[in-house]
Amino acid sequence: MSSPIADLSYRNYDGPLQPPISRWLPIAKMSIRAAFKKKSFWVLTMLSGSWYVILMIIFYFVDLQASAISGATGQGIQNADAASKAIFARVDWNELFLHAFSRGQLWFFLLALLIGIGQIANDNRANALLVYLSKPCTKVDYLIGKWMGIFIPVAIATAIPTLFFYAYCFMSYRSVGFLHDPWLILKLFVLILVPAFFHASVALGISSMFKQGRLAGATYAGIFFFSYFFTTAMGVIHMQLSRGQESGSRLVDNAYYFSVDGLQIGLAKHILGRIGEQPFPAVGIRNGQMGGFFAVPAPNGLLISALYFGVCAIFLLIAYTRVRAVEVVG
Amino acid sequence: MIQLERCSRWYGQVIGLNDVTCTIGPGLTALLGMNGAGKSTMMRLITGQIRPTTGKIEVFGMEPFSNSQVYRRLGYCPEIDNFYEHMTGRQFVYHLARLAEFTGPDASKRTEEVLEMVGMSDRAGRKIAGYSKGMRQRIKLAQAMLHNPEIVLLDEPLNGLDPVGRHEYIQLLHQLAEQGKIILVSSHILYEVEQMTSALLLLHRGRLLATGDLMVIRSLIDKHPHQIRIETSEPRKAASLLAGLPNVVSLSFAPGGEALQIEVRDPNAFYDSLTEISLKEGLALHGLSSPDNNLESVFKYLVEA
Amino acid sequence: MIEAYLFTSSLKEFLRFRRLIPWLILGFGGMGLALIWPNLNPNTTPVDQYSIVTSTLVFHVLALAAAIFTTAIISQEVEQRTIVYILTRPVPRWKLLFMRYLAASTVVALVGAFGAVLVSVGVYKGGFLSNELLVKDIIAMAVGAFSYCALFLLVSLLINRAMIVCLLFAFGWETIVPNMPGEMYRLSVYSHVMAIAEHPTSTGGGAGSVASGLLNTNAISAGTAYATMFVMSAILLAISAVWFTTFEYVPREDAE
Repeated sequence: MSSPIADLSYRNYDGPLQPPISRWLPIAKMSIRAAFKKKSFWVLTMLSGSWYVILMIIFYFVDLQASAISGATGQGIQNADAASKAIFARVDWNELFLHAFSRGQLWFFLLALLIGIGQIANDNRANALLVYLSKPCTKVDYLIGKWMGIFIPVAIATAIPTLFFYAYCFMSYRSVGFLHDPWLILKLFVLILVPAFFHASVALGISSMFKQGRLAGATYAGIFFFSYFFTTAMGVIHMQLSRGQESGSRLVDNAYYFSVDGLQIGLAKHILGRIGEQPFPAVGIRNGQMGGFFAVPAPNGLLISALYFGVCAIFLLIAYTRVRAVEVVG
Repeated sequence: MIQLERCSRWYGQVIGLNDVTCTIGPGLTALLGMNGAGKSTMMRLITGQIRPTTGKIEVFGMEPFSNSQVYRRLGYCPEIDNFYEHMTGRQFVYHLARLAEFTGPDASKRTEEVLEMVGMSDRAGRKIAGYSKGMRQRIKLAQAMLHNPEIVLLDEPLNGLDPVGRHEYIQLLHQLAEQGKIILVSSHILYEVEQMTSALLLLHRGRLLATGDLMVIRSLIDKHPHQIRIETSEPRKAASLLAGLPNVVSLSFAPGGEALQIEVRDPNAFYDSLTEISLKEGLALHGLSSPDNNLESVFKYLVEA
Repeated sequence: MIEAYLFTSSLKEFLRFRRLIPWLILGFGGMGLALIWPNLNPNTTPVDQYSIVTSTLVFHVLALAAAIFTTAIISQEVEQRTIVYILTRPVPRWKLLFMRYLAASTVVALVGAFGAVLVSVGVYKGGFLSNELLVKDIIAMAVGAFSYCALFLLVSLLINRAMIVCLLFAFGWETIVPNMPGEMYRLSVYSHVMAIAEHPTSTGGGAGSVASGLLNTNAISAGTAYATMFVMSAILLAISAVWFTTFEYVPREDAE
């Protein structure tokens, strides 16, 4: 005979399950909705595209300058158009996207911090894991839901400015060589996923280790900035070496990418097939010259891919280990 | 002495406390109301965590907001279940004792005293993170009692305490009240409050519905006559004898036939008459109860009104 | 004395071993970087090595530490909802804020000094005390710690998600502004701190200046830097004290 006192203890759900998408989707939706409701999410999204805005302003003035020059020489609108075309024909569009992607790194990180770092930490604090795991959803569903809850907003935040700028360039400069790389749009779609995949994995792993979002955030910030300083130091060494010699140290050049943003930038260089040189060849000083621009060669593709996916895997594994199933009360 | 004069507190568009005027003096007073009635707002106003939007609040004749002089004489046990989890219970109480201006040795001594008082001496060396809800409540009370305050405010203090713990806690509150302290306890559980005190402040949707002694309040609710249940083996005889009394409003037989349910206007006068009649007519009474002469009914009647 | 207790108890709280682990790792990381530097680039002098590593790492870690420890002064209490315990004690709020600020700044300064000493050990090994830049660096870090903490304290009192804003300031503003054209660099704390440190790399030009974030010539004199930081900190602290004394801290149900 069963006890007259109801057993209300939480336990893992072991009944029939819905298809996987119905299980993790509600969890992801909740996080995504919360992210989209935050004003700061949209502010950071806009800021992550600030470099594109700067580029658009530069383009505007280049157009204007071309008209002014041809107007001053009395050669009319046709020549202005030709001058403008000549300038834009020399623009390396892939480099532009690579630069904008690199400059967006801090914003992508802050986005991950804003929406992702508290994902599991807050559940830990509120003991909400018990509730989740006693519902018809497994630990993996929970983790996928939370992961998607970071991945999708960060991907959207990366995609909005990137695709907007692509559309702008497509409409305005396709006749002056913008479509020189016909695969650029596909490359950009892959590129958009790079920060989202990385931050979702790392933020989730770190979040699972804490009960306070603030501490998880501080830890991720520490990792981000320490690795950033390390790669800055490697950049300095690269500059010093390439001043004195023809080529720098390969070890230093690879180490330059051993940071949260470096891994992503390294991968982006391979995806876009560029190394981050001056996108406007007529302007600036190239390759390690002081007061101008310096570009560290792309890292070893295999090494950077292995590191990127390895780091993601480690943090996902941490999250998987740390999210513990509910103990059944005897 | 705590005095609120036409005190209101708004949170943006939401009103937390609405035009409340009352005085709270020595003894144990219960602040009663449903969730969202404004109990915590009133507690926060008295403890000077927030200021009234309109009206005036005085504790010992002073405005309490961020007022050290008030805090020297006031102890507060908040509703929240948050602590410095990495500390032990003893460290937590000692830390707050130091902040209450005790010197190191005095703080240690007083910490032990209050831990003893709340029955936590033997468990105070453990980290708070591992405490049960009841232990947390006791530690919260200990920190509120540290400086032997004249006013003690307790926000939902019985939450999570087991029955024995509740009994001990209530006894302790009675002892403190007997020492002449002003004890204000908020609760939304009527049964708890009924066990503690009959002095009430009844809040509903931010307004003070009633204040004073439970019985006095009950007797003033004319709209609802008092229900009295008389258990007797001769219910028909009892009905015929009592029906003519001037205070009786209605009579009915309880299911089962061994009891009579009566509604009366003035219960004291009715009880006098009942004693007289039962002696004179030889009416055997087995039991007497007043099912709506309790806090729940009072509360229900007031809220419905 | 309540002030002494407030300071020591906060100091003890901030110096809990678990809290210090990341800073120890960062400090030893800096030392490791200084140790391997000659292998990566044998052409740099010890002064350059020390200067670049402290400029790129330690001085920026100072801002990071300030952001993290400062948010623990009040924001953490608000988030944990434990603020009610300390606000209902007979301690004037300004005193509470100021003593906790002092403790946090001291810890941040210690973190910075510890990092600088370890980098010096990495560069000069046993003769690390012969490093002429070390003492000035420690002083600069103390000034930087008190300035950053004063700034972040106000930010943490004014907004809920202070950590993100502080990080943005520390690594956005403080990285970009010193490199902006004209006199903009004067608007960064970092430029002032570097002016006090008087690194050979902080005067503009050279790879080290890129690392130290000062592509421009830093025309701020040490005296001006001291005065500016002192005045700025005093003003920010005064505003913080006024704010904290008058602000109502009601436990947030949705605290994250």
